[in-house]
Amino acid sequence: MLRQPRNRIAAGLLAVLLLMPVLVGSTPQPSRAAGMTTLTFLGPDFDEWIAFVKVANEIGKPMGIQIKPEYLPWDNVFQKALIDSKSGVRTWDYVYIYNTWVPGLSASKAIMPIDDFLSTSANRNAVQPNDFIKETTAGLQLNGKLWAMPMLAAPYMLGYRSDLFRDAGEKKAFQAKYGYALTVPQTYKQLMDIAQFFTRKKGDTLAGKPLDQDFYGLVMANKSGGFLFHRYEHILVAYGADLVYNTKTMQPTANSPQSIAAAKYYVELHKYMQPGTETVTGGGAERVMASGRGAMAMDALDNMLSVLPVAKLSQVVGRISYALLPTQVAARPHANVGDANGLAIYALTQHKEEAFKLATAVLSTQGTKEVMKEYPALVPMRTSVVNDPDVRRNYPDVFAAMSLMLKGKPYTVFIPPLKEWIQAQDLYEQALSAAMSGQQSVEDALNGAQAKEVELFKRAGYIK
Amino acid sequence: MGMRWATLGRGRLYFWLLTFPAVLYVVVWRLVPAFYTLWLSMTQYNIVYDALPRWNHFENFGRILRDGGLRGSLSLSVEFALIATAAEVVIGLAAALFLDTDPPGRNLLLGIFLLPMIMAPVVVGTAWSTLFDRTVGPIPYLVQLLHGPQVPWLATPATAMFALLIADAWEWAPLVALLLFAALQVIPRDQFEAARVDGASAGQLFLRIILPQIARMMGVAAGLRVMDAFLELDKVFVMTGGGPGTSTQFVSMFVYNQAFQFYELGYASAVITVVLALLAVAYGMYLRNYGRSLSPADS
Repeated sequence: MLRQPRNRIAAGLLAVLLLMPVLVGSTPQPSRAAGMTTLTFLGPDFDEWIAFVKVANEIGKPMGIQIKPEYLPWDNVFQKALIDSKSGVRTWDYVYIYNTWVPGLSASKAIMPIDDFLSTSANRNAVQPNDFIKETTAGLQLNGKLWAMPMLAAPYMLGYRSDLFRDAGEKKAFQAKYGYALTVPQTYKQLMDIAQFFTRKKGDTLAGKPLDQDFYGLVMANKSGGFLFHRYEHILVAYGADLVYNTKTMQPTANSPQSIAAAKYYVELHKYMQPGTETVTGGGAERVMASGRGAMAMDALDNMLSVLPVAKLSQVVGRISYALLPTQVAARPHANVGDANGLAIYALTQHKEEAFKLATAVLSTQGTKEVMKEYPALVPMRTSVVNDPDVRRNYPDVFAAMSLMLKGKPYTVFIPPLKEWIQAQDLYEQALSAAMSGQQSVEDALNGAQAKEVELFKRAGYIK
Repeated sequence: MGMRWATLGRGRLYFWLLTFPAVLYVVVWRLVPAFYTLWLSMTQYNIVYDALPRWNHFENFGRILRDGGLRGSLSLSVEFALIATAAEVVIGLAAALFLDTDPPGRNLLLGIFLLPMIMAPVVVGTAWSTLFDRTVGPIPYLVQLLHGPQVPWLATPATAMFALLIADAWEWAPLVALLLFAALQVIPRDQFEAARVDGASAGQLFLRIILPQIARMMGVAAGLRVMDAFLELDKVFVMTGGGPGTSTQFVSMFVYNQAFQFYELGYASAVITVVLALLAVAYGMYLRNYGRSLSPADS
C-alpha cells in the first residue's frame, strides 16, 4: 500500500500532523537559557511595573536572574492568575497583586505567603518587615500573614488646580454664588459646589479667559471592572456606610440608608465630571486633567503624580496641589479606603527561592529608590525610603503628599478579607453604573444589588 | 455513484487514517468539552472557594428559572439579534443591488466593502469604541461641529445599544451583501428585458422578479445572522462591558460574567447548556423549514 510514492507522502504528512502537538508541547521552556534563571512576571501594563521589571533585570543580572514580563490589562491579571493556578499552569513566578485580590488569590492557593520565607533570620534581615509602613501594608496582609512584597501605596487624594483656586475673579464669583469662600473642599457638600461651579461650556470664561473647549469640575475614572468602585468606595465609607456588608453580622448592606445616600450623591456629582467617564480608566482620566480641562481630580496619588507634573504629558505642570479627601461624617475624617500594590510569589512557581531572593533585593530600600528613578510617581511603602534625604529632596510632591497623609491621619479602612470580595464589589458596581446611566433609580438599583449580594452570601454559607 | 465500504478494499487503512484526525477533532475539541459542560451544569463549582465540583441536584436549572438578570439578558439578546439582522439585511440588500448594476470598479468596491467582515470582532469593537469616545472620538466631534447634541454614546442604555447595532451592522452587512449579490448574479438577465418590454417599473422588477428569486438566500443570510448576533460577545466586551449597568449585558456577556467575574462555573455551564439547547431547537426548525422550501424547486 505504501509502495506508491504519493501514498508515502500522504502517510508522512499525516504522521507529522498527528505528532506536531506532541513535538511542540515537549519543546523545553527557556527558563535557564544561557546560565540565567528566567522568572516570569504576570502584571498590569502600568508604568510602575515596567519600571520594576527594568530595575529587577539590572539588579538580577549579577545574581544570574532575569525577568520576563507578561503585561495584561489591570483587571485581567486577577482572572488570569486565578484560572491558571486552578488549571495547574506553572508558567508564572511572580504575580502582581492588588489589596482587594488578596482574599480571593490566597483562598484559591494561587499565591504563597511571604511569611513562609521569613522563618530564617537571614531572610528576615533581608526583607526588614518592620520597615514597612503599617498603614499601607495592612491591605496585603490576611490571617496574620503577608501575602505580597509591598511595592507601591496608592492613597486616594484630591488633586486640584491651585491657580484656579487662587484666582481673585473666581474666588469672588464663588463667594457671591455659594455664600462662602472658595477653598480646598473639606466636606463633600463643598466638593459638589466647587465641581458645579467650575463646570463650564466652551466660550464661557475661566480665570478671565474665554474657554476654547468645555471645562469640567471634577475628572474621574468610572469604567466598570473596578475603576468605578475604587473611586466611589471612599465616598461610601465617608457617608458612614459599610463596604458592601457588615463584617460582624455578615449581612449585606448595599441598600442601607447610608449607602443609598452615598450613591445618590455620586450620581449627582457625576453631572460635573468629564463626559465619557464611564469608559475611562485612571490613566485616561489624568490625561484629561493634564490637558487643562478639569478643576479637580479624585484619584490614586501615583496616578496623578505619574501624569500631571510630567512636562511632556501635562499642560498643568506646577499648577496642581494635593489634599486629603473631604469629610462627610465627623467620626470618619477624610475617609479613605487603603490601597496597596505588591508582588506576590505564584504558588506553582518552579523557582521560589530565586523569586524570593530577587523580590527582596528589588523591593529593599535601595532597590525601591532605583525603581523611583525610573518611576518618580512611586509612593513607597517603606519608612526608610520615605525618610530618605534623597527622596525628600528629589521627589518633593511624593514627600509632601505622604506627609499630609501621615499628619492628617485620615480615617482609613481596608477591604474586608472576604474571598468573594470581587463578586460582591462587582454586584454593587453594576448597580451604581445602572443608577448613573439612568437605567434604574438609585433605590431600585441598590435594592437589586442587595438581593444579589444576599444570594451570594447565602451560597457562600455566610448567612441562611 | 458513492464510495462504499465493501469497495474500498485495500484503501480501508487510508480511509481510517484520513478520517481519524477529523474524528479526533470532533471528539476532543467538541464532544468532550460539551459533555464536561453538561456535567458541570449539574454541579456547584466556584473556582475561588470550591476545591472540586459538587453535584447539586439540578439546583442550577432551578436558579435559571428564578434569575431575573438572565431573563433580562435573553430579552436583550433577542432584541439585538432581530434589530441587527433586519438592519444588515436592508443594508446588505441595498449594497448587493448597487453592485449588481455593474458600477465602474465593481470588484474594487466589493473588496473594500468586504473588509470589515474579515476583521477580528475585537478589532471592530476597539475601532468603534474609539470612534464613539467622548474625549477623542471623531463621531462626537463631528456631531459637535454640526451643532448637534452632546450624545454620551456608550454611557446611556439606549445609545450604547444603538452604538453596538451600528458596529454590528458595519461588520456583518457585507456578508449579507455578498450572499445576496451571488444570488442576484444568477438571475437570468432576459427576465428583466422581457419585463421591461412589458412595461414593468423598477419597483415591479424588484417585487416580481428579484425578490422572489433571492428570498431563499435572504432567509439563509438572516438565519445565519440571527444566530450569530444572538451570541454576540466580542464587541460588547470591548465597547460597553455589558453596561452601563446591565443595559447591554447580552446572554453571552451574562455567561461570561458568571464564569469569569463571579467564577460560578456550574451556573454558567447550566445557562449555556439551556441557551444552546434553545438555539439547537430553533436551528433545527430553521433547517427543516429551509429544506421544505427547497424541495418543490429541486424535485
